[in-house]
Amino acid sequence: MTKDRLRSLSYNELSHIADKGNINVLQDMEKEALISLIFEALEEERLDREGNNNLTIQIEAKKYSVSQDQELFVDFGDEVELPGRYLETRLVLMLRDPSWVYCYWDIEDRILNELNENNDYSGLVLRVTELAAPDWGKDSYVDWFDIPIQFGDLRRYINLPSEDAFYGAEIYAQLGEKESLIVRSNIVESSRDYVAPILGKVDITQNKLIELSGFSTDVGKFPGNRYSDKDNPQRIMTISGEVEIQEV
Amino acid sequence: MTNNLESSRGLIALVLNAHLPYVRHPEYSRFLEENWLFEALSETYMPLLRVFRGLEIDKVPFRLTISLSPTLTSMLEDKLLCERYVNHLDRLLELSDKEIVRLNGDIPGLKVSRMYRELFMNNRDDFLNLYNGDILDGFKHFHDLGNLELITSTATHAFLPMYRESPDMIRNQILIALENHDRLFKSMPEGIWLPECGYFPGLEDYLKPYGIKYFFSSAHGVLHADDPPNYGVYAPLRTPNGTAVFGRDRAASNAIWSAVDGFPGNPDYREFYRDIGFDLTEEYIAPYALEEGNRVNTGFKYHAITGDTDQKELYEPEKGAAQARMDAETFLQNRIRQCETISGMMDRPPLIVAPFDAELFGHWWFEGPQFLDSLFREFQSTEHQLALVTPSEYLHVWPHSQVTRPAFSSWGDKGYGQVWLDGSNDWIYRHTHKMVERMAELVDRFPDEKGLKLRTLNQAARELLLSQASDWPFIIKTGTTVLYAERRVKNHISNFNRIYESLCRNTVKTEWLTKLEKRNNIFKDIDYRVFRRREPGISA
Repeated sequence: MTKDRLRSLSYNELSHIADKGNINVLQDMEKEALISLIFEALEEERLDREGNNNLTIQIEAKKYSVSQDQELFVDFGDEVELPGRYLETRLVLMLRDPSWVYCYWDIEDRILNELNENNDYSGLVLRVTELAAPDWGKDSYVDWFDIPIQFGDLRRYINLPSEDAFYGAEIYAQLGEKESLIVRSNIVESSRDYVAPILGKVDITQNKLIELSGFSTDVGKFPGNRYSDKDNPQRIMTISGEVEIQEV
Repeated sequence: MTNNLESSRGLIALVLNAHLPYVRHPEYSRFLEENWLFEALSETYMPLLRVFRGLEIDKVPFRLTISLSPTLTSMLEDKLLCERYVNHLDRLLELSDKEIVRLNGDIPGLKVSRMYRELFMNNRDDFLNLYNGDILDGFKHFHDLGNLELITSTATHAFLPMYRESPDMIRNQILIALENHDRLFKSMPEGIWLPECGYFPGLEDYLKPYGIKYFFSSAHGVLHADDPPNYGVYAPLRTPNGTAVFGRDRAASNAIWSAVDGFPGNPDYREFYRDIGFDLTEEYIAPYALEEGNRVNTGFKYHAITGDTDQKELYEPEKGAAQARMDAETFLQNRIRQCETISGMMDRPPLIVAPFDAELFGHWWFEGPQFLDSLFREFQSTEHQLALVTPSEYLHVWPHSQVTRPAFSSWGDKGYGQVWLDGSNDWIYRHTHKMVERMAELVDRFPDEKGLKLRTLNQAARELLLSQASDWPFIIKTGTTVLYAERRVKNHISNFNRIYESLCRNTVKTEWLTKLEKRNNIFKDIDYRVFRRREPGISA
């Protein structure tokens, strides 16, 4: 993004960009001051965005870089409107990482109307259940927690308490002292983000090779110490052949 | 070769993932995002092929694995895009003539502008005369010689963990990619590049029925396996169904990925961010680098990285080339030392797997192809007992490996699905998941159509596949050309929904369909019936 490009835009267009970027503009601000403000805000945002990604993603993003002004390709053309919902009853869990699932849902209007007209109806809850196996059999239930949701809610990120466990979700309507199941999701298996503990006699060579691969088997003993490509130091080989701690 | 492998002190498998999303806009005379392909062609694919030809002439026995994604190969064989690439080169050659006049008297500047002129002339000559507009032939040639192992990726580079609940969709992404590869290269690939190294436990069950013998994983995908790997990432694992998984070595990868500590950050290399599209006057640059009032890159970049300063020094191509040779030597020396340390701990030579985005070499790191050229030559000339290897060659010599199940992983930021599933892009999946269901429903309702309905259903299949490209959520998250990515994914969803509704009402508009077929024409021979519902475990 360049100041030149900003200068070529009208005051109204600049105000629109500032609005879109949640940039606070003082009343009666001079055009040049507004340009500087937008330039700095967008630059800061770009650096933040780039800095937040690992090397792989930073490099991959270069493929799509054709202009330094790409943030400003403001398109006022015909916007494609997608349906907000598909008017169905559905609940889907998607594993994002070992600790979080993304959950989206929809409930048919017919059901929502019935609930609205029911005097006993007091609310909806999204119930997240840890399961011992990938099925909804009663014997599988390990633990669960509820998240209150509203009629207009359609999605949520949920933090999973355990790694290496199965999870499913359900939406219940609360009707007085009773609950009524509206929809049940698929089941996901959460993952681990540490080296599994070596069972039996610890093999020193295996430990060393895992360390040389950039990981520590110690993490396996302390599952709270999560994988991060950026925050955790990794061990990599240096030219001297020694193992050295380096930031990735 | 196999004897060499067994007696080696270590093995290196270099892997390049060549991929771009399908971008083709016949409705415009020029389209900015088509430059992604043109820049990659000019700076990466054509220079790489020239490196390979030089190695062939000098009888240097190199080994390299390249994944060519189906969206990329489809663009590379598309006549319109090939014509536009030649037009693009002609514009750049015209600009290079102007640059030579502008820089008259500026000897260092002239040297760089002449370098670009030669690059674009070579590209034009190779593209038109050597390859007759089909550079895939070039890759096939080196595949047939055994220098390259060509593999594929999924049909539209879908990040498969996001479609875990749609087994038929995953099968189709794989099947369509394999058919495309077979059609182009007359052979089935032994391996697959899982887009973004996106793996989830059980994914191998979709690969094996199609004859896929291996895939690649990020390091933690292997290291976080159900059982700790006996050899770290220095030997592949076998998944429970026998498909091999090769883990990425982070030390070798980071030496090349990192702009700060890695080789591409050297002050003598060409600076990516300074381009005359931004440095020269609008009047001068307008015909080449002005799109709807916005300046764009031209590819003419005259500065060296220099350091963390805005006062960049002029780029000197000889210095860049010399540095690339030195870096290749350093890279190899580091791998030698790495293998010396590791080999004593293993009963077979350690394998270092180093996968990269192909477009890193040349597009971003201008001297990248020279680095690879020097590295391959260095391998031949140095006494080091290291060997270059492809995964298939490795598996031929060492068919047995530890059996365990890798962990959910990707090579993206934070290691999982955070890039492709985020507050900015999660809205996509509600729609694409619904499209998968609707496509199966359409096949149920129209199991054997002909004529206009057949065309309509085939187009629905194309729109479905194009909507699943991992590039769109990636761009939306990383913030490069967000508006374009959003527009693309929304258009594919909207086109699909319109087809679905039209078929439900039995009112397909021929004119609209024809326009759509011309625009989104990937996988010309697709048969919508591939999207029929299948029983679990049935692969084709």
